[in-house]
Amino acid sequence: MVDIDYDIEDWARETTLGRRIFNHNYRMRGNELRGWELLKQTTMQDGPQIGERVYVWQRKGSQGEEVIRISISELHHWRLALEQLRAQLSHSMRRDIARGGGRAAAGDVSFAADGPKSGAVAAVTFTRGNVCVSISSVGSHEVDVRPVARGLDIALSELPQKKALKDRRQTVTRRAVAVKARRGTPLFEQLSDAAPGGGWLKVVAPDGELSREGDALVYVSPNAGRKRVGIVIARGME
Amino acid sequence: MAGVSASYITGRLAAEGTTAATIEIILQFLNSATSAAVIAGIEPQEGPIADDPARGFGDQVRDYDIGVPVAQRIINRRTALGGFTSVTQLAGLSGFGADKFNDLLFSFTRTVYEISAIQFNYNTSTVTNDALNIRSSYSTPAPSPSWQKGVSLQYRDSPVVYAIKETTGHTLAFRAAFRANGLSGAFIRALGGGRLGPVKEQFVSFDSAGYSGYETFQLENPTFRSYGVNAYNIAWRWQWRVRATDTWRDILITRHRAYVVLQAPTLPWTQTLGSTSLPWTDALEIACVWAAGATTRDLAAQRVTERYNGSGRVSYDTVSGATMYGWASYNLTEMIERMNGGIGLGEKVNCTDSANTVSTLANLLGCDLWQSRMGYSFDLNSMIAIGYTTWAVPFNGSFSYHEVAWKGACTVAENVFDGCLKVDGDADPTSAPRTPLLPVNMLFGDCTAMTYRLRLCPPTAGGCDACQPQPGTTRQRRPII
Repeated sequence: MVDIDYDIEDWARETTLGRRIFNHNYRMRGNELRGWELLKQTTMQDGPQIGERVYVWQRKGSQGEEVIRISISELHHWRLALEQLRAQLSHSMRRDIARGGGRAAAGDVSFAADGPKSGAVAAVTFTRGNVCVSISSVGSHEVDVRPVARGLDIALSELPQKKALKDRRQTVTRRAVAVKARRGTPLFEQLSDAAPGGGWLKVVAPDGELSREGDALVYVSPNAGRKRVGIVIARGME
Repeated sequence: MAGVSASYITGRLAAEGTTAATIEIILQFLNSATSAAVIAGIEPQEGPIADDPARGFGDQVRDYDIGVPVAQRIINRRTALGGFTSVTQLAGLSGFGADKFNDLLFSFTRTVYEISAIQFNYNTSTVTNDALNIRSSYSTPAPSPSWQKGVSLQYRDSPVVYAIKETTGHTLAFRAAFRANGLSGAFIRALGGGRLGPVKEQFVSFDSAGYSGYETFQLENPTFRSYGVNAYNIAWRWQWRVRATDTWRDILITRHRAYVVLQAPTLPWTQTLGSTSLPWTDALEIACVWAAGATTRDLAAQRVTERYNGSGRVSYDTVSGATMYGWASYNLTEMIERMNGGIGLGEKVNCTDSANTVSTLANLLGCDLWQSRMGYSFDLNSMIAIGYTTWAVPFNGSFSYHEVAWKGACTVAENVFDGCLKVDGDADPTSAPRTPLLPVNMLFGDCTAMTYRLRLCPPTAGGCDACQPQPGTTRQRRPII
């Protein structure tokens, strides 16, 4: 819809770690951002290929002046997340939104924009694997959203150490999976059953790609052998 | 004056052959009255309790039925008892003598005592003779029936929507159901109704159990069509009588919230039953107030644009100009919350959010606008973005795209309503001095005359020339959530 020629193949080449990360049913629950209060969450899109939820947070005590809007879109494949990133940018009126390098870097591919009042990085959009995240300062006072972006990126991409787990709902396992080269191996036949109670599933493979096919999570490795796949399951509250 | 005795009450009930149903109705009336005035009504003629002409002194001075002081004593007794369980509990109340007890008995032995329900929208396949199909919000259906005894207490509990164009020349009707005691039929009407007018008198029959079923009533003299878009609180004072010579007796006052739109809403709104895109009363509450008094579609769209731009509830996202309220679908639910003082999805908006809001609310009133884009990547003149008061050229002087509420085919030859920004309305928008002008019903234009396009963009290859309508790929009405 716009003439800005985002080269999605460039982005794909930059997406290395994200190809082997898959998140299913990630939800912010209100305790992720210290000093902030989760005011609401709402579903913006709920289609067969995409689920987008928006979270609105307010800094405690700011009386509505410091508010951030976090959009988290979950797709079936990391390439679709890049498409979602492009769509997000194409619905922004600003032409010169810059790549989010340096301190604004987050995820596989990111873009960031400065607030004209404060100079703070007040908007960051990035992909990490099959997820596209867009964080915007939407209160009257511009907020630097980089710490939020970094925190979310870590949550979506890293495997916590078992002994470092503070959230009792979470379990971390490393499953050995025998795979054939370049052949799809289902890690979960039914993603909807993988994390009980509508919980969150995070999978990090040692190489290759992860993607959703139907309701299954499929792993394709370039090399045959036994692979140790990291799996984090956070029980849901449903 | 000493009150009536319990033995008198018991004797009269036996002598009259008073049924258990009548006693139950009397008790229900006394126990549910919210104030003394509800029991007393307006004396000497009006109110739920009427003088029994066959008993007492035979005039309306000394026979004055229950007034406010006695009614208050009844309520005090009720409070002390925790509610009446027998009419003999009325014995001994000062001022409540035999005549007043007889009035009470007379009033409820033969009476229309209940409006059970009202259906404004009884024919869901047409909007010419009755109200539109509606819902309250995306997640909540409208009340059904439109008014219901014990449920519909406030005006907004009973919404109704009429379309001026479709109903013009047609008699408007609705259906209502009643209950009576000791009557096989009665004439019923309602007074008041504001610009919906009174309800025409109609004979209603009751079965042996006192039920009428739904009966069709007509609005007698609705005047709302002359006043354009609006939202009204209206009240009807319902009355009944058996013969033309009888005095009308009150049943109840019902309250309703009436929304008037110019014509049946256009997309994304539908009249398809069960759809979440039936007109929402939450949205009508905003749109009808914003456009109040508008009698044409252009004026309605203009007022929606002006009120949105001047709402003070949203401001332009000067960081990235990002769409905050949805581009695959439009999250009107959150925008309504924002407009009503809540957080919504935050105060920041862009042109897509603004085009969505203006077109969706205007179309709810019967306008016929689209969301459509112009572009791409074009230079800008100075403007005042929504929520701001200063002139500025955003984003280093250019937009990647811009989106507005647009008429017709959304080409150079159609007019736009831009709630997102004010342009310079003077003869030279490329330089100071500047005159703020909100683009409402402004021709988009072709860069040869001073239209919207040349007010938004400078007359250059990178400005006006690059700012091309893009209806082929962007003209739409986003679904609402």
